[in-house]
Amino acid sequence: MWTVFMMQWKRLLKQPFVVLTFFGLTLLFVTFLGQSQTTGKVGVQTYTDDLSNPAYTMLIDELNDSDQFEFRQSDRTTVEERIKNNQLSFAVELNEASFSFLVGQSSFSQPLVREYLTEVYQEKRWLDANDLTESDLNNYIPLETTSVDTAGDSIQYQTQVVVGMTLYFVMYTVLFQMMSIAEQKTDGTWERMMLSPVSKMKIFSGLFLHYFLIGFIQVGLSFVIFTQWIGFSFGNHYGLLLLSISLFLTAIVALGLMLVSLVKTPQQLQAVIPIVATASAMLGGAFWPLEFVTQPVLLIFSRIIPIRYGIETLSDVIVRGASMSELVSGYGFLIALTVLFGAIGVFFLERKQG
Amino acid sequence: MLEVQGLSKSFKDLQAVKDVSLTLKEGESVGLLGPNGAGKSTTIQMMSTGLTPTSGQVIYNDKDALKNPKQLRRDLGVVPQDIALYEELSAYENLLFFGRLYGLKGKALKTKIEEVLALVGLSDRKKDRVKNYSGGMKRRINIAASLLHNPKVLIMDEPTVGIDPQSRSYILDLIKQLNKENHMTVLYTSHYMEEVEKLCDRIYIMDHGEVIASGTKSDLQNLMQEEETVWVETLEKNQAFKQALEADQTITQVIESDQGYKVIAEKREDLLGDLFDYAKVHHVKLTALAIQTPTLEDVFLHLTGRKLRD
Ligand SMILES: Nc1ncnc2c1ncn2[C@@H]1O[C@H](COP(=O)(O)OP(=O)(O)OP(=O)(O)O)[C@@H](O)[C@H]1O
Ligand SMILES: [Mg+2]
Repeated sequence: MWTVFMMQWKRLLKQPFVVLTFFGLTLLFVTFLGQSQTTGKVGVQTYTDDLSNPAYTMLIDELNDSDQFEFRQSDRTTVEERIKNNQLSFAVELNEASFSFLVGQSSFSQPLVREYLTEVYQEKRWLDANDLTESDLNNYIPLETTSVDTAGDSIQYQTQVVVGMTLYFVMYTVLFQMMSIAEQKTDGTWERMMLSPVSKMKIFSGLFLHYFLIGFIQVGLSFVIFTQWIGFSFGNHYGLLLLSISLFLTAIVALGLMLVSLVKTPQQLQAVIPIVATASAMLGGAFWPLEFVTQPVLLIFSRIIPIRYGIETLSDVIVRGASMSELVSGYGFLIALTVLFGAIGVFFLERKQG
Repeated sequence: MLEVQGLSKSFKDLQAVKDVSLTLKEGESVGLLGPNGAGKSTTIQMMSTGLTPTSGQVIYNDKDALKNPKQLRRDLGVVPQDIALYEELSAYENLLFFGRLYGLKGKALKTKIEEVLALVGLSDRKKDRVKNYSGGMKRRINIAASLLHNPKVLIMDEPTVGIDPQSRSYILDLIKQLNKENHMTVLYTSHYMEEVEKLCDRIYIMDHGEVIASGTKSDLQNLMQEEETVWVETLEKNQAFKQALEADQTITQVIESDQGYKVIAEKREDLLGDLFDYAKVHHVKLTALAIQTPTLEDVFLHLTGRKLRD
């Protein structure tokens, strides 16, 4: 096992350029993404029916003190048109003493906007120091009041993006590194290894450990960057954090083995990896919350996607400090997928079936 | 020692190997001969347990080697048709790795590596990266990598393809030495008749996935005892003369070569006389006329009606 493991590293170190580039690009992107995630503002379209122009502008300026949102002026017909065409998910009607939402489709930033506006309007009233009545106050708060913990939502969302992107990128790196197996398959060195009396268990363990470690280093570095440069917090449940990452990476290496075993050439694999990585990131919730995927077929499909459980378990640990018993089902899925993919991969790689 | 029985392999709708049976006895040197695409490599891969056959058996020392490949894998050295080495590493590092896979380590491994390097004549270049080697040197290291664990059986898939004559004869001598002095059982694959003739005690000829003939060299030549090979050397080529030869009922093959024609015909007393007559009629100047013992090339031609390297 160590023979194979050391050999892979030796080869990697002889040609480190590709890996390093890949690694560097990943880190660059992750950094950039993390930063834009925390400093980028969400644009919000607004319109008004009863505010005068100067009052409207003043209100917008005041609202834009926020570093979370950027409120923009528009008018009712324009936003209605855009909502109808699905170009906009919602807009806000701003009035003197209250606001309301025009909603086309639900959006995760809407509750955040609502919360922010409620706050501002309340404060405005407070400062104006008019005498308040109970019924007045009700006016500020939009009609359908739901008790969502919006602050929690925001952290949840941010975590999901940070974790999702990290896992998405590491999936890329690991799978692309595993192209080396496909290359060995075509140049005959793989067969030479398989024909040796070394047990296949040992060969696969060595390979597994190698790719696992590459992934682990990358995730580790990404997380360090997030905490050090961007100030993202991963909570303090390090044990479960490590366990989640490890189980996810294990499943990804197994997935890689399966893909390698099913293709004939490295070129095919090169074509397949982006498709698999991106599709599973989309369906597994790396780019947007899983609630956005509503197609039943796709939802079923998302059940066999490791990144889904990787994101779920990691965000649960980070945001909620979830305990082992809450994570067990996610871990179970990851282990089951590892076994499934791994078995297929090892079966077809051990001996050519033709 | 090692045998395969009724081996077949289909790839989708192509049947690459059909019902092939081969036997290797201990200490023997056996040739597997056939044109491109005959199914030699496929047969060898199944024989070395690297490829699962569609049907058939691989038997090593009376045991089913497909179910229990370990013993065979331990005793087997396979030289693949393609260079199976890590190009970015040096020859030495490659040998180190493959040696370890066979359980060699420490001093024993180092000694063994030096030994095989000397055997293939590359001791002085061992630290160079394989990708900087010439084709012939790569081939030699490719062989060296299969010799580290003192295999009892050595299976070689066209180890001399695409290299200069010098490297080629070096390799052939090496194989002969391994077989005769180190008593390795050798299965040697090639589409070069001369190599197999020179090297092998027994020969199997494959074509289109089937074994079409087998036996010692003289067994195979005897297949042609009803026929005769005549070398007709002429001053210049003459199309009409060739057509006349081909039209003769008793002549089965006419093969044009640089200096003349090779004629395979039924054995009969007046054949040479007739050949003189044809030459006279078509004004062809003969420079030589000779009856030859058939080569394996001729045997293949006889069996398939095709030249081996077409
Ligand atoms: N993995 C595969 N998938 C599909 N067809 C294959 C595969 N391997 C071999 N073949 C086909 O099987 C036939 C026999 O191939 P094989 O490589 O065994 O021939 P060969 O005798 O070794 O030829 P050569 O002298 O060119 O090496 C060929 O037609 C080849 O195209
Ligand atoms: Mg071949």
